[in-house]
Amino acid sequence: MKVPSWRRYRELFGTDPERDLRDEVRFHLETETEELITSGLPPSEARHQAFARFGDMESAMAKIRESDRRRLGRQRRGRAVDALRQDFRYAARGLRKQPGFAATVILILALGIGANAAVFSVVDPLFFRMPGGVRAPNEVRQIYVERQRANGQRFFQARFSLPEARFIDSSIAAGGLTSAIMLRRDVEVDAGGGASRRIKAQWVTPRFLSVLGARPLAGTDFDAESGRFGVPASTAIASWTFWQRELGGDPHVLGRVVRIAGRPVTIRAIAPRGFAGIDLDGADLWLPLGGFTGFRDRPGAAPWYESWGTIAFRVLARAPAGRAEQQLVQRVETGVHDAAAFTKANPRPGVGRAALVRVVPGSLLGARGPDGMTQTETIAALLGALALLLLVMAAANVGNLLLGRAVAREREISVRVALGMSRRRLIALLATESLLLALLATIAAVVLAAWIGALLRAMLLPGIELPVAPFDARLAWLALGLGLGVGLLASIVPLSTALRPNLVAALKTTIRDGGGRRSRVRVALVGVQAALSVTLLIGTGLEARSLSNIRSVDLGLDVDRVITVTRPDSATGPTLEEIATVARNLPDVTGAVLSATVPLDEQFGARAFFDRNGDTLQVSGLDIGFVAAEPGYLGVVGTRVLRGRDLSAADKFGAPPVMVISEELARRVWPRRDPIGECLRIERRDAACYTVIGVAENAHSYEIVEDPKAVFYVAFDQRPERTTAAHALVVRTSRATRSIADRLRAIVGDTTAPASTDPVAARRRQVHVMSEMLASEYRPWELGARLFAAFGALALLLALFGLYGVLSHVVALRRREIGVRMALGADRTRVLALIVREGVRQVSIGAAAGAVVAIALAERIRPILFHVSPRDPAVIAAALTMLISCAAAAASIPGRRAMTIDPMTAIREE
Amino acid sequence: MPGEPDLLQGTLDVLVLKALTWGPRHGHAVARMIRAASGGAFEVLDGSLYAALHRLEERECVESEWGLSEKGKRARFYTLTTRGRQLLRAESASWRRYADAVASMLSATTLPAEG
Repeated sequence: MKVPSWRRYRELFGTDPERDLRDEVRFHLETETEELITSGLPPSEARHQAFARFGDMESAMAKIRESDRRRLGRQRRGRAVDALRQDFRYAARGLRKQPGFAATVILILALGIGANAAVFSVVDPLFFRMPGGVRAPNEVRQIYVERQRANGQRFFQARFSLPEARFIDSSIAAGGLTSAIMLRRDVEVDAGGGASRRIKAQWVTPRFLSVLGARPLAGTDFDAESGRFGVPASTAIASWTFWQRELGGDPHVLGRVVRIAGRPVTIRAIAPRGFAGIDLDGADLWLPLGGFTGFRDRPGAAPWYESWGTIAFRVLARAPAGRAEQQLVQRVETGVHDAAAFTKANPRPGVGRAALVRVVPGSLLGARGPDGMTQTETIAALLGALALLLLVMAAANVGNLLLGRAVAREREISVRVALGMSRRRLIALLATESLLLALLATIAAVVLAAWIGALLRAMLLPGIELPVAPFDARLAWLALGLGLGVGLLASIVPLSTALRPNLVAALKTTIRDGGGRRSRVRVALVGVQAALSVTLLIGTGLEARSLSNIRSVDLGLDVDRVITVTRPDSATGPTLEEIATVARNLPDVTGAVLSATVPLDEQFGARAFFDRNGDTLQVSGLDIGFVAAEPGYLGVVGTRVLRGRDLSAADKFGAPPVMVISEELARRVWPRRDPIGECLRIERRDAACYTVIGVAENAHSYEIVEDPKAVFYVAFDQRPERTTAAHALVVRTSRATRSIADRLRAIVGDTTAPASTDPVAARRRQVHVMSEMLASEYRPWELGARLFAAFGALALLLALFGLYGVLSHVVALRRREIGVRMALGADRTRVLALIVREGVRQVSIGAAAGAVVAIALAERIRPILFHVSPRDPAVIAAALTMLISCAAAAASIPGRRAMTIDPMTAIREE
Repeated sequence: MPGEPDLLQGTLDVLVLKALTWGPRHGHAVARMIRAASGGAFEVLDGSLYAALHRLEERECVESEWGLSEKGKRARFYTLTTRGRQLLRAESASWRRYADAVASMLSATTLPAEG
C-alpha cells in the first residue's frame, strides 16, 4: 500500500536512515507481539518472545547500519555524477542557444590563455629550463667576475682570455673542484661533393662533460692527451641528434671520420640523449679546445692560445651551495691574481687593466647571470608581464560578459532556488557553465599558442634552433591550468551575485532595474581594463619614440651607400685587389678602397704614446682603436674630415707617417690644443711618431649604441708592423646600392640567397650592404615597438568592447527613463551626449590610474628605451587622449541607439 | 554467492527473494512467509532476516519504499528488482542441481562407480 502523497512530507526534510531503521524494527516487534497476543499469549510473554525471536539486536542493527551506509554512499555519488552530467548538458544547451556570446567569450579567453602559453614557450628556455642532460644543474656555475676600470666604472665579465681562463681553471682544480673551459665556435663540416655544412660546435677542455655530470652514451670521454694545446683536433664527441641526423644513427659510428675544415676528425663518443651543452641552441659536436684551429695566427706573434687579447672563453665549475661555493670563489680569486701577477712580470699586448672587484658564481642560464639581461631577454621578460596583463584583461572582460548574462538570467535562477535547488547545486550549475567555456577556450588556446609561440620564437630568437619543440606537455598543462583558473575567476562575480539571500526581491524585480551593486562591479571592470590599456599604450608610445630616435642616430658613416666585401683566407677565385679594380669600373661606384678591417665589425686596438717635455708618456685610461686602409677610406665610408686634411696617395710607404684622428681622440689627448701637428707613437715607445694631419667626425666602431670612440686612421702602406694584409674591400656607391651589391656577389661567387634572414647564413655572406649589418641591431627596438603595439591594440579593443557592452546594457535597461526624458523635451543630441559622457566618465578614472601605474613603473622599462624618458609627458598625454577619444567613439554606438528611442513605445514598455 | 562464508546466509537470501516473488511485502510479512512455507524447519532469527533484506537492497536485488501496512501503520515494503529476479533464477537452478545430485546419491541402491 502506497503512502499517500500528503504523508510524504517527511521526505522533504531528507532521509534519516537511523530513524528509518528504528521505525522498521519497531514495526516488526509491534506486529509480531500483536500476532502472538492474538494467538493467545499474555502480552508480556508475547513481547518477550518477539524480542527473543529477533535474536542479537545489537549485532543485527550494526550489520544493517553498515550496509545502509554503503548503499547511501553509492547513491549519493551516483546522484552527483548525474547532476554533473545534467549540468554540463544544460550548460552546453545554453551556450548553443547563444552562440555569439559563447564564441566571444571563448575567443577572448583563448587569446589571453594562448598568448601566455606562447610567451611561456619563449620565456621558459631563457629563464627557467636548465640545459638538458646536466646532472643537478643548479650546482653548476658559470664564473663571472666583476671588474673596475681606472675611471671607476664597474662591469661584469663572463668571458676571459684563454691564458687567464687557464689560470682560473688550474686554480679551481688545485682546490679539488671540477672545472672546464669552453669556447663556442661553429665549424664547417664536409658534407660531401665539395659542399660544406655549418654545424654548432663547442670547444672544450677534457673535464667538460664531467663538470656537467654527463657520461657518454658510447665511447670514451676526452682524456688528458686530447687536452694538449697546439695540436689540431683529431677526435670529437657527437651529440645524440647529430649522430641520428647527420650520421644516420650508424651503430658503428665510433671511429667514423668527419672532415672539419678539411681535417679528418674521428668520432670518439656519443653524448647522452637530451644533452646539448649549455648554449641556448645546443651543440652538435664537442671538440678539444687545445686543438682549435679557428684563429688567425699573426706572423711572428705568440701562438693563439697564449694570446691575452681574445676574450671569448667561458669557465664552468661544479660547486654545490655552501662551503664548496665559497671555496670556488676563493680559488677563482687566486687564479685571477695569479694571472695578473704573471702579466705584470711578463707584459703582454692586449691585457686588460681593470682590477678585480669580486667573483660571482653565476647560473648556467645567461638570463639569470649577474650582468643583467640582454635586450632579447629583457623583451622576453617584458612579454611575460604583458601576456599576464592581457590575461587579466581577458578575465575581466569575460567576467563582465558573464555578469551581464547573469543579470538576464536572474529570474530563472531565483525561481530555481525557490523551487528547492540547494546553494551547492546552484554553484555547481553556474560553475559548470564557466568551466565548459574555459575548457573550450583552452583547447582553442592550445592551438593558438602553438602558432603564436612559433611566431614569437622566430621574432625573438631567430636562427636559434631550440632543442625543444615549441609545444610540449608542460605548455598544455600550463594552458589547462590557466584556463581553469581564469574560468573560475571570471565566474566568481556572477556567482556571488546569484547567491544573494534576497531572492524574493530578486523574483519581484523586473529586468528594468539596473541592480546597483552589480553594475558598479561592471563599471569597475571596465575601469580596470581602461587602466591596463593606458599603461600599454604608453609603452607603445615610448617604444615608438625609441625606435625613431635610434633610427636617426648619426653613425658618422653613410651606411646606405657603402658595401663591404670580405674573403675568407681559404677562398679561391678573384683576390680583393682584382675585385677592387672591377668595382671601380662599375657605373655608379664612386670609390673603392682596401682596408685591413671591416668597418662596423672589427677594429684594431693599440697603445699610444706621446712626447711631452722630452718624456714619452703612454696615453692612459683610453681604449684606442685604429683603422689601416687605403687613402680615400674616410670619403668612401662617409666620415667627414672636420679639420686639416684626409690621408692621400702621397702618404705611402717611406713617406713621413701620418694619421687622421677622431674628434674623441683629439678631445681626450689634447683637450685644449689643436691636435694638428702633434704626433703619436703606436704600440711601442720607440716606434715612429705619426703626425696628426686631420680630425674626423666621430664614427661608430661597432654598434649603434656606443660611446664616442677614440680612433685614428692610417694609410695602409704606413700601417704598424703588427697589422695584417688587407682583409676587406669597401665600396661606395652613388645609387642603386643593392644591385651593385648583387653584381659583386656574382663576381665573388657568393651563392647565398641575399634575401635569407637566417643570421648564420648572413654571417657567411661575403658581400654586405652596411645598413643590412645594422638591421639586427635595430631589431630589438623594432620588436619592442611591434609587440607593445600589438598588445596595446588588443588591450584597447578589449577595453572598448567591455565599455560597449556595459553601455549597451545601460541603454537597454533605462529605455523607459530615456523615453521619459525625451517626452519631457530633451532633444536627441542631448541623449547621445549623455551616453557618451557616461562612457568617458567610466574610463577616465581607470585611465588616470593607468597613467599613474605607468609612471610608477617607469624605471623598469628604461632598459629597452632609447633616448626617451620613461615619463615622457607627450606620450602619456597622447595615450590618454587616444583612450578617451576611442571610448567616446565606442560609447556613441549605443548612444545612437538611444537617440532613436521612440518615447511613446518606450514609456509603454513593461 | 561469492564471498559468503556462511551457507545459511546465502540460503536465507534466496528464500527472501523467493518470498518477494508474490509481490511487495514488508519485513514482518516476509518473516511470516518463510516460517510458514518451510513448515517450521527453519528457525530464522528475525534480526538475520532484516540484515538479509538490507544486504539485498545494497546489492540492488530488492528495492524498498515506505508505505502503510494493513493496519495503517508506516512500514517499509520491499520489491524484487530485475536483478533480484535473475539472481533468484540462477540460484534456484544451482540449488536444484545440488539437491538432485545429493538425492540421487542418497537413493543409490547399487555401489557407485569408483574413480
